[in-house]
Amino acid sequence: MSAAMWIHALLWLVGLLLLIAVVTVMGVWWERKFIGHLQRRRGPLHHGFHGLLQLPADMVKMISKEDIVPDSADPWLFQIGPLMVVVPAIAAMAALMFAPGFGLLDMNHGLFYIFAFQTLLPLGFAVIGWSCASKFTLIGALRAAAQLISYEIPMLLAALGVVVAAGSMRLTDIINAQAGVWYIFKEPLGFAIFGIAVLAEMNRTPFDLPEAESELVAGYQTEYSGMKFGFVQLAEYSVLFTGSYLVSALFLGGWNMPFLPASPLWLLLKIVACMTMTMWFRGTFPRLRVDSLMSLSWKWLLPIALVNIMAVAALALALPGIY
Amino acid sequence: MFGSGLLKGLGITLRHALGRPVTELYPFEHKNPPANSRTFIAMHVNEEGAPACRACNTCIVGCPDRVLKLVKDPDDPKRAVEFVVNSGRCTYCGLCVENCPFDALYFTQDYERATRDKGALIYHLIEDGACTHEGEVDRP
Repeated sequence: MSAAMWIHALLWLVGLLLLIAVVTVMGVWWERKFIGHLQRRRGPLHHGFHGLLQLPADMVKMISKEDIVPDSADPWLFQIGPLMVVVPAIAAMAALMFAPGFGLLDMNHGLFYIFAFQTLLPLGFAVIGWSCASKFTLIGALRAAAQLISYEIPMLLAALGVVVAAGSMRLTDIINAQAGVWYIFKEPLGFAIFGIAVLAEMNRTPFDLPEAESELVAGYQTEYSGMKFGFVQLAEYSVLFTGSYLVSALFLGGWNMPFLPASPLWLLLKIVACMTMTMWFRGTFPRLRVDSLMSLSWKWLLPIALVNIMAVAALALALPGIY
Repeated sequence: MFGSGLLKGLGITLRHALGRPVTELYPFEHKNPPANSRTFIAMHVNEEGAPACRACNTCIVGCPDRVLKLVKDPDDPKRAVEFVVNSGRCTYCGLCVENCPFDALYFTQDYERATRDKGALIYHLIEDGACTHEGEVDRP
């Protein structure tokens, strides 16, 4: 690797870490504000303009808080647990492309890379849940593992429909293929399945069983405090960002906009809109039961996703120019 | 239809988001309680500026928590020289105000008298036969 490539990679790493920090801080603020208004409350209000400084204050508090390790916790696993979720979550973001040629790694299998790292998350959750030696964390972790593994399959099958249609796993190719018609119009069924499955992958309401505040305190992260809790939060918002990016890139045209020149701005707007949608769902829907969560994935989404992929493949063969 | 309830729910929350919040900014904004709310009590005065209390004892007999204390004038049994309210014991049942045949007691609409000192919860509505106007508040 030449020096210029090293500098390019280093700048992108710093940029991505900054992006994650900004997404987490602004995401938490916007979530609290938006859900507050959905429930006719006001949300954060007193620190800075409409409570904008609340989150930096929370961050300082989080960093300066005592790091409590439960007596019966497994000391090593308890320490590396947060890293096992935050590292894959951030690593998955390395493949995100924000404009043609504008990204850290424009891999020809970028989509595969992102999904591969997201698949590591249940392992991190399981380690966190096991290491704390608490029933809340263990139940939360087992729920997270079961849910993430169940919903990965319909999600991958729905994404496969897009890959079949675009003929590539490179995110730039997939988005450029939507310069005319977005895949949401070509594969509405795939979009619905992908949207639901991504929501479950991100542990968002109505699929927030791993956290389930009313039953499990805070689920797998119950025993964490201080910056370790901050790391888990960071991972959660990184996954939320990546999930919203995937929905925008695979189905909503990415940086393309009808009648307007392509720009990273459209992509960012779509990501923010997708994140806001998940918050809107959180402010509206009740949580699913564990058994209905499983039956939705295995009995409904998986068969529909299989039908969808076959239909897309058949259409791609029958109408090669259009599909 | 399947899913119509979900859309309806989303519509409801969106309508809430676009409407005004219902929460009050309590310590920063004070709202007057409704006119019939039971708050701290105070004493009316008559035309001459003397307390409206005629020392009939009805409020004290009716009070279930022994909140009130009254000292009569030895020369004039229809005149109170002292009227003490221990609001720390009060449950705001309103029986004293309701029972008073002379409408001498009334609710002030004041509900903010939290204190660290127990003694500060004791109010003298009449002292030396005159109204102290203690605890009466003027709210906008």
